Amino acid sequence: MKKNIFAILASGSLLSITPAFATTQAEDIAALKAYFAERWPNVKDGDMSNGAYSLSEDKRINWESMRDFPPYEDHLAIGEEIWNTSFKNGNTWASCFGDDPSKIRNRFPHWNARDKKVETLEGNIIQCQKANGEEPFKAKKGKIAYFSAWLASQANGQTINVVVPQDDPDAVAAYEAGRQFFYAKRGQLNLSCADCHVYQSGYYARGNLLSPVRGHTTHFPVWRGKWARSGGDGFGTLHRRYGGCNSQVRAKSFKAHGKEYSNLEYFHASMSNGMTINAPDYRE
Amino acid sequence: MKFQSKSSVVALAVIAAISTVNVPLASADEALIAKGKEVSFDRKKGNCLTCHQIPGGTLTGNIGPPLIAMKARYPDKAQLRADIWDMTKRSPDTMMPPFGKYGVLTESEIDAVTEYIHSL
Amino acid sequence: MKQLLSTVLVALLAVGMISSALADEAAYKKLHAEAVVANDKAKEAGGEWRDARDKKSKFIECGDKKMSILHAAECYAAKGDYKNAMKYAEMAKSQGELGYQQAIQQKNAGPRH
Repeated sequence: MKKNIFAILASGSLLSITPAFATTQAEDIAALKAYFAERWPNVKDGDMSNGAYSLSEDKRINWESMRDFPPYEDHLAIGEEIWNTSFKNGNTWASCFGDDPSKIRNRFPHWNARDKKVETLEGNIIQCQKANGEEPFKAKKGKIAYFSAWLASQANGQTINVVVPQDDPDAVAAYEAGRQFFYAKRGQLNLSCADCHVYQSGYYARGNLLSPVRGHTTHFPVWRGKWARSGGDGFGTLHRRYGGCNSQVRAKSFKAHGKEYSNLEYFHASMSNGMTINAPDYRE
Repeated sequence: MKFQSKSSVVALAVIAAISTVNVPLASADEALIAKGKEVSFDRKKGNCLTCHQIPGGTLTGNIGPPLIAMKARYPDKAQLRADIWDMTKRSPDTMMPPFGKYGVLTESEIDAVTEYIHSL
Repeated sequence: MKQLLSTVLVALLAVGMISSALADEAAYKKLHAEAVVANDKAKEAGGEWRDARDKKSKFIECGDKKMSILHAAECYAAKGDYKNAMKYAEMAKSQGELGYQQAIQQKNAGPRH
């Protein structure tokens, strides 16, 4: 009898430490694909990397006419120049990332088992500069975005496959932290990333058609009309977008390339697994 | 006699004053509704048009239901106010910000918005 | 005699005003400290709000500048306007408390599709 009680107590305590959503990365992706397929049976999964433009013919026509003369070509050229410029100490970017610029974008984000953290492309660009005694780029826009966008453009057509090693509990925990961040309501307006980009995707907030999360990270850094209009150019990194979103719901944004956003990117990019890179791209 | 007439004048004046109060009361409602509309349309306040269609509003979203026939949908105005104040109470997953609970609007702004929305 | 009386009165009044100003300042400082604690707690939970005390916030006007709620409280306190200083310190405290509660409530957030 006593033993039984202990067994019950033990199983109870086990239940309480089991995460609320004990699903794996593969299960999460499958569930999300099924959810969108049910909502939009006529939209091809692969087309979702074109964001909201996969959901509205009107929006698509405007977008396609914008892409006839991409506003970001000159900035991509700056990105290529950066790749070809050596550091003052004589080292090149290849010393951090390898020789082939087409084999860089798609290695990120990834789990660094030694340092127990998620590494992102932009975070490692800054790390590489620091390691070589260079003044690091600003974290969210400008040169870091041009460079990252050029690297992404070299990887166009490759299939995204973010790996979460299931046998490494720290990696799984980082992925789950990113998932919790994505689904948690935050800020004074009490909205989660998922509120707009899962449940209400396809609906309009004012004139903005909300895009589905699947396909989000295929085309970053993006050139946003909104950013271009706010002064400077339109290029921004994924973490710039995170900060903007958080601020819009009146939550304090987190540091670009810090733990919170890197974990978020780990989950967020995972949700585009199986899709092809098509960067950079124009967005409203 | 003189006294009496004086007091009846006072009484009349009081009655007049009370009855004129009724007139500004009606326009006070209108003023409240006008204030409510202003707060509802203000992007930094209610910003209702982001999600709701409202007659007279342009570039409206469609995340929430159009705000029409509100008296039929909310026979009890207090329920409408309670939903504006904190919709998460009835529907935890709602997109609608808890305008009162989280202090997005002040209590008097919520009174005005309730009055305006209920008039639609 | 009359002069003495009025001097005493003026002095009493002045003392009264100074002591009530001191009381205002003390009450404000207490509330300000509580606001800081509340927002530290929200930060710890990952639930801070945009306008409570972030230097980048441009939410409340004080003088000809826009700033966070807690910075506005400090700005008004520096001007001796304790009525507004208290109001904004209270608001910043409330945002810290609400942000913390929200973060705790959302701790196990996940997909519901």
